[in-house]
Amino acid sequence: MEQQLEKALNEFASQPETVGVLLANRQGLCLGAKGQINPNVSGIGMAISEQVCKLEPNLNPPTICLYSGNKRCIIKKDGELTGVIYKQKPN
Amino acid sequence: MALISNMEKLSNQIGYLLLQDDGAVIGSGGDLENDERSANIFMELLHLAESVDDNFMPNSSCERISIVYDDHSYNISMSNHRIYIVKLKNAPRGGTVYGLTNNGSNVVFSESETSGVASILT
Repeated sequence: MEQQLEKALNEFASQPETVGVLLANRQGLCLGAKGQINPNVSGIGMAISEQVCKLEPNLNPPTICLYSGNKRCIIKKDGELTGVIYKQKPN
Repeated sequence: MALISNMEKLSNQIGYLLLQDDGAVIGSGGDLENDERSANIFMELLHLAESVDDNFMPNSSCERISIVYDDHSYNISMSNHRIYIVKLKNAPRGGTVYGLTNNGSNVVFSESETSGVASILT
């Protein structure tokens, strides 16, 4: 299980412009992180995804993207897992 | 309220909300007409998004948020103590639909062809 998680994290982290990536469980606890991302972000990432899911509870969870200058924070919930990806465009 | 009419003119727009930064609804239309429930959810979301990670994004630096579902998206943009929220219908796959305002105003909504993620360019 951990090997698969590690593999998934490595795959995400190798995508273009990716700075950091983490996966959280349903309680908002960090299952694993890769790159420059604070594992404590799992809690707030989870909270944001839960909050957005209240908008249209009957639909599948959406992809959330927060933009700040050349940086993006992408949050996506899928079943038990919530993923948080940090991306940064080169200046 | 020129900005409301700009939001209304977007070709793929199916709803909009204009909020004061304290959450008061200034204008609304389409699917989001008088939608106080969604307005409250957006306000709580903005509060959460203020402090995600100070090391990556400085607190309160987040200028826009997009929430993308399979066939529609919500796009939230903050400017001048106002919060602009537009619900857009996604463009059909393979094609790009640009929701441009006719008068060349400074708020332009577009659909990225490659990622399928709707974005607001200001």
